[in-house]
Amino acid sequence: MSKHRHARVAAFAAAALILAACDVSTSGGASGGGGDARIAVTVNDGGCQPSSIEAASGRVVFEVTNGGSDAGEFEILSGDRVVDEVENIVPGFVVNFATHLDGGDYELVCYQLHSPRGTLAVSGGVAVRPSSAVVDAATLAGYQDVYETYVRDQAAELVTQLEPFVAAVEAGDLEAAKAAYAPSRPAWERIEPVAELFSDLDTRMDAREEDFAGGVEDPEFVGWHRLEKGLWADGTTDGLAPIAASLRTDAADLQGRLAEMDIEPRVIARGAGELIEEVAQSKLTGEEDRYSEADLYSISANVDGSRQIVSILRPTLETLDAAYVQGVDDAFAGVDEVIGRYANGDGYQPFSAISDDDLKALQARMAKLSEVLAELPGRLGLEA
Amino acid sequence: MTEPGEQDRRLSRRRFLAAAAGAGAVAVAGGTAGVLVGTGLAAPPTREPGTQAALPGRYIVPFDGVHQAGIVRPAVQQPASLVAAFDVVATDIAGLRRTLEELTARSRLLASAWSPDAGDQLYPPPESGVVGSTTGPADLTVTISVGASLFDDRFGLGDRRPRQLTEMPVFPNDVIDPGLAHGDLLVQVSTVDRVSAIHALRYLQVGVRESLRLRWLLEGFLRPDPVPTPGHTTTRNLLGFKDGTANPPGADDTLMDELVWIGPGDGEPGWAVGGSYLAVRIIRMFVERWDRTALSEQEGIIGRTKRTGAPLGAGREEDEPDLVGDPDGDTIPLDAHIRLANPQTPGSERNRILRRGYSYSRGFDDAGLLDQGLLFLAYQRDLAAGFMTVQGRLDGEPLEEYIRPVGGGFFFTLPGTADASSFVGQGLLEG
Repeated sequence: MSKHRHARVAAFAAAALILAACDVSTSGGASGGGGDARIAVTVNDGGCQPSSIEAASGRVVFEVTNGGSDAGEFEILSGDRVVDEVENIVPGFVVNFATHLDGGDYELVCYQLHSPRGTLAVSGGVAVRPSSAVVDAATLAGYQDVYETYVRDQAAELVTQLEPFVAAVEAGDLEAAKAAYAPSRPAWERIEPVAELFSDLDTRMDAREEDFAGGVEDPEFVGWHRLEKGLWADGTTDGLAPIAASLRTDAADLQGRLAEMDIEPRVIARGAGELIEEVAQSKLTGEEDRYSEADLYSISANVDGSRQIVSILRPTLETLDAAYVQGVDDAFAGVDEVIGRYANGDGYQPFSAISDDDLKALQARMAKLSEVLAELPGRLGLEA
Repeated sequence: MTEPGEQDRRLSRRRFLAAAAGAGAVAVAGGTAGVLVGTGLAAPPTREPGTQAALPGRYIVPFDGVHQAGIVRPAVQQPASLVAAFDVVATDIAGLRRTLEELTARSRLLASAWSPDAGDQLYPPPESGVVGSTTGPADLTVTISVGASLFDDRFGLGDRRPRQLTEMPVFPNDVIDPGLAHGDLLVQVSTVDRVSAIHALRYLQVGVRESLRLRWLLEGFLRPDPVPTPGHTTTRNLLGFKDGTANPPGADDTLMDELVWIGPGDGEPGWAVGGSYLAVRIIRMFVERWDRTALSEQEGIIGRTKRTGAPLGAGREEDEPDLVGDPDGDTIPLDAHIRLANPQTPGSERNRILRRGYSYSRGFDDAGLLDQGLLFLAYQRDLAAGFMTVQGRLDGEPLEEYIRPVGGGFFFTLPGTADASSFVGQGLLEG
């Protein structure tokens, strides 16, 4: 436990303090923004008309007309550095060129490199960019504490959930082992992006046969999916007891490592999307749990882990942009709806039970959820 | 000031651009908006030294119009195309409407010389950036069509189905791969190059992620003419023959109304006027075997001279084949492809279709044979009189030994949009 924990929790309980909330609508979407400063400029052999331009810092849209007869360009230089540029403007065309400018004096390349240069004077300070909406450190620290607690709880649950499975394999009880396989995995899947940071454990616990040069016969191939292959494809627990025991040891090892681990806010914010990317990219084909077909256990646990992150960050996200949070909720609901159709008591039906139409819908909705969650770090002003 | 090294790099790039431009046609800015309209060449081609030119084929093709772009506009067929068929996984008509609105808005933007915002450091960029800071002009068209399956019970559109729109039947020589056939929605992007087409597809998909799931995708290409000329091309298909010589001219509005566009008196739903039936066929060609076939046999199978494109017995590509004067097939065999496709018998002029196909190449098959062929796209006002009739005539033609249709589908290409306030498919949804 970190010694700052107390302060962090207090800050979190005092609710999110937002330093600045700005329009963050520029990413994605086909609609153009209105209300920007728009500056018309024509480039040709004579350079820029007008040749000296003034603007206020922030987002500026240049309407650049190529009035010459050759391909033209328009560049904004700060010293030697090209701040932004639009190249290869066809003669006669107008290009609407949007950029963010900080206060300062710039030089303009007008039409061609050797055409007369223009000047651009930008008043004001550093441009307010859409993502400068930031969350104060104490609030982030509070979120971090809550998420770290969640991860540690899941690690403990993993150890608990794994035990009946390992015990059944060790006892040589094939049916009990098969029944305990799927329920042994959700805690792991809920914290997968964090657990995977320990690549040695990830390889030993959750790798798939194609990750190994020797494939399914490779002696390095151990962990859940090796046990799965043995139980379903080979139909026996013979020889599996040491692999199961090692899985138990690794889970305990993971729990120990996670107890010591600081999970930075940016890792948390990224994690929400990563959990879904993982599903969208490599689980909606049934390849994860190919022998047991327990894929929906893993998938729904990934979704739960992602939702948990959003739930922790929700106070800040709602203050920044309630519509965004609604979009995230809608995207989760769309995924839940399809998965919910295949609930079966406490668990799920096998992957092959998913109809073609539902699988396509799930793939599309999972992709949408990925897309929405990809904005999460930016929304919080965090470097991804 | 830029550093010397930087200047050198830029200069060499400029020289390259100038050299590339000099080889092409001159583009002249037209109109006060500075927009080049891609319905034809704005000026005759020239190689005069000192003239400055845009790169060939770089125009804006207006998105809006009575008919969608990409069928007869631009007059010079773009060299790169991409056809993507989707399953609509939106669950209600409101979702379908949002999908078509978003596709339209994004397509309209892509077709214009759009300069996307560079985006913010902390966010995924607003678009992929693979074409750089501006999307155009790139002769880019996006053409949206619907399949028969869209008119099932999901969206309540059953009574608005174009009357001839059914799932493409399996024809005798077909071996259809379900992964390459049919679909609720078909989106075709055609443009100056493959990169631009891929850019467009990726940008379009972002807006409709939750409602459209890819069903099949095929990229097509053709060899651009050195001097693009409306109504005339030297491009060849992957059998090495000129293809499309006898195509009805897209610039002939009266003929297009007759052969391609649905008219008000056609007995079709009112919303369909201005649209067109689209037959898509993915036709694999067994090119290795074809390349080992004697020239005389190749020419007899097609009915044209390979080198010049002229009909057998004629002198020039543009010459009409003399089928009437050759009733026994002494010159052009009775089962030659061009004779079967267009027999010139009384009444057969109404069976003509507007083709706008592409070649494709997608690696090789399990036998080690090249997987190449024709992405056949044909528009017509009447599917029965058009593609179905032509296909019926071609059934059993000797060319079948060398080709195998493996996919495609029947679609209805939606009417165009009047202006930027409307979206493609609006008429269909609003009845």
